[in-house]
Amino acid sequence: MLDEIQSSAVIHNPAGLHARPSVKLSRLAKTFASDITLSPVDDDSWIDAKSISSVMNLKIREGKGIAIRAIGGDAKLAVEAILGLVERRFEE
Amino acid sequence: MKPETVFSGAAASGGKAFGIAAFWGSSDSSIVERAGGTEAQERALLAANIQRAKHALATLAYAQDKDAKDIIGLQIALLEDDTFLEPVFARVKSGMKADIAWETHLDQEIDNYAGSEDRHFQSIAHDLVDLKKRMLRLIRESPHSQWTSVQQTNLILLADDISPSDLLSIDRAALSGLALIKGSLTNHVAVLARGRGIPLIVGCPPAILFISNGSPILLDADNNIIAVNPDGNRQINMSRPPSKKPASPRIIHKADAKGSHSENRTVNICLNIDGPEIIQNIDVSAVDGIGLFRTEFLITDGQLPDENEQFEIYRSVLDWSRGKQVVIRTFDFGGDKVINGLIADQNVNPFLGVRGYRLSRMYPDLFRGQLKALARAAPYGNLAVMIPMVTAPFEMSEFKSEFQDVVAELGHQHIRCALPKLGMMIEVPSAALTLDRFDADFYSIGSNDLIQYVSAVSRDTLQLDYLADAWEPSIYRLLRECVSVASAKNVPISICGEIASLPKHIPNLLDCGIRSLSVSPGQVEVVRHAIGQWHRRST
Repeated sequence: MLDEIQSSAVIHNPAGLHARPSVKLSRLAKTFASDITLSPVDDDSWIDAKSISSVMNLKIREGKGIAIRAIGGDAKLAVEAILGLVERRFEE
Repeated sequence: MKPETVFSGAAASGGKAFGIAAFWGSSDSSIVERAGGTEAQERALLAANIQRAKHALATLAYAQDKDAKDIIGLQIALLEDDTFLEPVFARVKSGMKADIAWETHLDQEIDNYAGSEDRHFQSIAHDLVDLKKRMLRLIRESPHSQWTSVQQTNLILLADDISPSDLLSIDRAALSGLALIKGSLTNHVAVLARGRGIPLIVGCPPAILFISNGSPILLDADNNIIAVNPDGNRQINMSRPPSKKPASPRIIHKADAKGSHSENRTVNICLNIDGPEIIQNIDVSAVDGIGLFRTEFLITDGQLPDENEQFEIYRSVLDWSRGKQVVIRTFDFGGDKVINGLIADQNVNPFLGVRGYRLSRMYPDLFRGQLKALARAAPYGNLAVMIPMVTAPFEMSEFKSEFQDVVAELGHQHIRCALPKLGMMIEVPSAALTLDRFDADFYSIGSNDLIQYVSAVSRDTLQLDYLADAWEPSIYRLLRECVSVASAKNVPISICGEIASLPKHIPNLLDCGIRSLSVSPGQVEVVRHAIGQWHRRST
């Protein structure tokens, strides 16, 4: 059964979604089977969350929101995990 | 005519060569352009070097703090990101060379981040520059991507440094001489150059990398100079013409040697070899056998020969030796001889880490394969097998029982085999100091490592060459001790390190009681001469 889950969050890291957080996010996304995509909330351009270069290239800065969408068997878990990482400010 | 320019350095392997300037792995300059292969080859080259870069970065990150790990982590993550890599492969598919495709894509990405308004994103550009250079270096320094815009013979190779395996990957027929900015007088590159009769000058000024590609060069390692656009007089003074075929080391027959035949018989001279090729043109009657066959150099293109191939190689050397002893050393990887993929080299100090026999123990299948090949070759001649880097007596007993197991196993399968003499290298001070505790059929002193372990002077550090002779009193005392222990136990002892090939050390070695020297093929003549002089002096 394929679930489709979408949610959004605001990035609170001072440096935004720069190199280190992007590495963490893409690594985390890769641990799920679902297709996971991200987009800036104000711009409907979706990229693969499992690709470090794509995540980094969004160049999301502090205070900006991202939308997260997952499609697949573990979609719910995936979105929750990514939201958790964002909330923990990427453990920076 | 262009004016002559002369550079100087330190000769690590003597001789003169005339040829043209060629460069190795000049990834940051455009001195040479790498010639591309087919699309499939370029794709494979790119894919292989992405893996190599990942491996190297992971090794680099291993011992670092968290910040450093994160910085390197970005580069590793990019190399694992298909979205990031896809445009590079697409360019290769459209006919671009692997290195140019990589460079073009990375430059675009670098511009993308460098132009960012946010300084955090700008800084990513630095990481990308780092990654770009790393990959370019790997691709351009791959053994298969060399010698493209230069002619294929009489090359004088100019480089910052070169690894032993890279040196071995160069066709000997193409290479006339070698000049390095780094390098050392005693490391394995120096050993290999001497063994192959390739003149080598180390410690050259960095300016040698700015010599024009293809310039005529006289490399005179007998006088420690590299002359670019050498003037006529210098060229006339060349003692030998540029050789186009592999120089076979000149070994004069015992009877022709200076000093009479009889007096030289008291000291054995054997050969140090890296493979069966070098002895093809050598008459076995001129020497007393093989004192050291370094089997780790059998590796070609990152592949070791399998058991059957090894068996054929070992047997061919035994055939050549016609009953004279052949000492084969088991694989001695580690230290400065690293084999890709065999070990994730996490040693902070590789010379004190997993190397030699220690490494063989970690790869029992590889090691057993070698022992089987040796046991099968043993009936074809007078074979002796030794292990490198022995620290404790149990290693020697373990090796013996492992070999006996192999012989028993082959025997059960009715495969012809025999148990050779089993010996050990004396390289580690703990072995040299308590040799009486080590039960072996023979001992062979590996003086290169012993010297560096006893003196705590790395042999790869040219800046420490001022300590080059500081080891002498301690080593000679130790060797005298080893010889007396060996003779009390009635166990043959020989020396196969570089000092046995250098005439100035030979009187001291003989004074210590050593009567068996194993030397580079190119050095037999001078060693025999030095022995003759010692005899005359001491009688």
